[in-house]
Amino acid sequence: MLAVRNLHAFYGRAHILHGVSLEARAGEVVALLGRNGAGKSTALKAIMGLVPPAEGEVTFEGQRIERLQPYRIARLGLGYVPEERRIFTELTVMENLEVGRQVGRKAGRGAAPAWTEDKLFALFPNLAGMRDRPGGRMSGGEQQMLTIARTLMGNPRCVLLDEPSEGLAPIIVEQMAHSIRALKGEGLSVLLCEQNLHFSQAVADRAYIIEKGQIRFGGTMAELAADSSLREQYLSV
Amino acid sequence: MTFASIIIQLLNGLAAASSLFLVSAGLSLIFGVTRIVNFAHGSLYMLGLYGAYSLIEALGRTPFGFWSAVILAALAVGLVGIAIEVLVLRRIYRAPELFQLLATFAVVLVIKDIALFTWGAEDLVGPRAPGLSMAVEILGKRIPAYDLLLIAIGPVVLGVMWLLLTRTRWGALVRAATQDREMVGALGVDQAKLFTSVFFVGSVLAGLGGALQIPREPANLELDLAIIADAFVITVVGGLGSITGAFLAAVIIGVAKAFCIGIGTVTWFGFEISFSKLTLVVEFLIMAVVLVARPYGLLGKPQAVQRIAADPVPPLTAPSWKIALVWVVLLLGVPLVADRYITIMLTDIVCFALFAVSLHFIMGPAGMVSFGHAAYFGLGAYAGGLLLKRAGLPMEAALLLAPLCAGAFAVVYGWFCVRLSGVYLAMLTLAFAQISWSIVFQWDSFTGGSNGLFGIWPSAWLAGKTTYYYLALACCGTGIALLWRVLFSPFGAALRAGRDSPLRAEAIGIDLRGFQWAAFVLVGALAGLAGSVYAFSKGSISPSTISIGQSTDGLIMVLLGGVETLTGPVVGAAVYTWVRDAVARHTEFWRAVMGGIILLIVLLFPQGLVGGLKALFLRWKEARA
Repeated sequence: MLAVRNLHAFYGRAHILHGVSLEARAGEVVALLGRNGAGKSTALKAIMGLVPPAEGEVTFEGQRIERLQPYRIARLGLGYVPEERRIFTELTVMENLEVGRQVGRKAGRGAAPAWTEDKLFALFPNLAGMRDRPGGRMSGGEQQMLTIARTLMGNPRCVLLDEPSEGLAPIIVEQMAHSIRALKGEGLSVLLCEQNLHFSQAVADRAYIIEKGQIRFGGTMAELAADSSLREQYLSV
Repeated sequence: MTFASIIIQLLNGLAAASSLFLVSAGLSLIFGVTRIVNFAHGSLYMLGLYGAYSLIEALGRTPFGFWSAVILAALAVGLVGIAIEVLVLRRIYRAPELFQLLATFAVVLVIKDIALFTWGAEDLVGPRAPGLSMAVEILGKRIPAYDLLLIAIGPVVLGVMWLLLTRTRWGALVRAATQDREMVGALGVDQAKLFTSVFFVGSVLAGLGGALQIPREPANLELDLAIIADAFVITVVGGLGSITGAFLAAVIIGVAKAFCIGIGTVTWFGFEISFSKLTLVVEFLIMAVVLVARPYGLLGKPQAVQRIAADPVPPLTAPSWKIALVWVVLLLGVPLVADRYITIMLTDIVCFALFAVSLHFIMGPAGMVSFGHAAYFGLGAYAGGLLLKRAGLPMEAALLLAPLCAGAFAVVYGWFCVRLSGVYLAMLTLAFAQISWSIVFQWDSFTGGSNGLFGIWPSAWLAGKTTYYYLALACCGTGIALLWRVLFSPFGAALRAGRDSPLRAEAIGIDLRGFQWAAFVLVGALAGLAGSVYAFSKGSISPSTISIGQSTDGLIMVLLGGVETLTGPVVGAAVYTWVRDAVARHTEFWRAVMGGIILLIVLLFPQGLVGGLKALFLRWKEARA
């Protein structure tokens, strides 16, 4: 589904990613774990073309995408959910969803789950009652749900989720984990980056650990759970 | 004033407000989404008038001909807008904002000459609107029926825009992109198409605003910069990006102007106050008051930070003494071998170099972009002339006191300006420059009005062109050296820190506002020195030394040379002054040629001349290594 090989990326002159390689297979939830500043968000942005990769390959469903503009990548069926949510605060919930809808997109290969507003409100019931509320007057948890729903409106086959549990109340984190499992149930692939190991264990099939812009570990969630020294070395604060 | 005349002035003001609103709404829309301050927006308005004039001539002076012409002119201007976006701006969205500004200046120059070539230099008086040329009697006074129609058009367009923005997918995309255009792109929206469509709509509004004015105002070549100043004021007073705010501001300013004309000259407590002369100033006074009370305009919000991963500004490198010495020796030696023409040209260049370096100081390292730097250049020039002619001071004293006068104005203007930042600050500087220009332009008995001042010659011992060149070199060279030296002092470091991070600078105990104010005064005084040296070299001054044209010349010089380098502005001043002179001697259409050259440079060297050459040099060195 999504394969990244030897990805290098820079912010200005700062070299952030030093040859990242990872993979998310069809229908799989993969977690990219690491401490603050390890390069998790940059990896997702580089895949999405928001930080143009300096070197390396990104393949999405057999097509090379590392030179494409973000909107082209999105229209191929790769969705991106940013950290800090980046809701359009002036727009209502329905308008936010409308911006995420991709009009006149040619159907790509492979079937993607088709989302409608109603189906999304079933997945995120909290949003159903506030269709006309401006994004700026929602709680953090509601905004987090809206930002995922907004991306799903584009009917992606794979979603990049940047720290979906960050800054949320424990009960909302529970709901978020439930929602991500539901996405997996719909057949979506998910690559999420996280600092929250428990959350990742609840949703992910496999995990990578990134540190200083390099992948240090790749394996199943069970392998990571069994290896306390690994967690000690790369994840504990 | 009677009740009837108050109503009449109100209607006059509302009629004038319609076109102002249309132009400003387009400007505001384009700025909101693309973050480009489109100086060429006034040119689009001007094209609207010219286009309507020609189309009416072609289609006939019938109601059908008139209204078809107005609509076709607006749509044609929309196509021009698309051309500007696709051919120029789309290529430089990732370039620094100021460079985009430079590109729109170049477009202004090109469009002005296209209009000159197509329609000639004479004012073109359009017909009155067929079928609407009668007047309607209201409260015993006669109001042109066309004015009443204009009054209705403003709210109608406001309503249509509101529906477009709140009830359509396009509107949702526009509002979303105004807040976070990168995110809109990541959701699969092609920004290029969205920007083009926004440019089209904004340009149609400008063209419509112009076309509707043709029965009221002759088409002429000065409209572009005149209307852009008005449109800036209205957009800023209303709040950038707010269409409703633009409408509100247009009405307030249109009505205020109408009342100033209507009141005429009034005697209060024995003082004669001419309100009609206030018309040129009143909008800028309103703007100054609004911005100090509400820094984001009446209905504006603080600007959302656009997420663009831009490289941080590189640290300044001090020019080396050895290279500077070589240049000084070369410049001193020029008159020994060059003819009179080159000496005069170099005198101009030296003055403009100080002007450009002072502008660079404030907009580059100090981070406060000024659209009205000509105010201090012009006030310095006038101060020198007036001290000589009206105060009877010796020329040497006038020359040296003039910068202090310019600095005194900078004390007042700067106090307001440092309260703002970004585009709002730039607009306020423009407002102060226009206020200064208006006063100089209208005060016939003191400043010579539109004719300016004559016979401002240096003392006999300085009158020789070569001698005066050395004087200019000494004055301006010292000014430039002083500004460069200050940049590397603790004061300069504090200013640069304030540019990079205002909050952190204040958190470590820098009184940023005070420092910026001091910087404002310093550059104002030195721009004044440049102006005063310039005035005495020409022997005369005209109000154009304070005009928007002079301010944009300064911006072009700085941006052409490159705002990130110290010597860039000097190179920019020299190249611009020399090329402009060379081109102007060969063709009437020097503006178009200059504009074309600037566009070429913008597209090829988005880092400016000096920055671009540096980058080329580095690449060459890397290739060899």
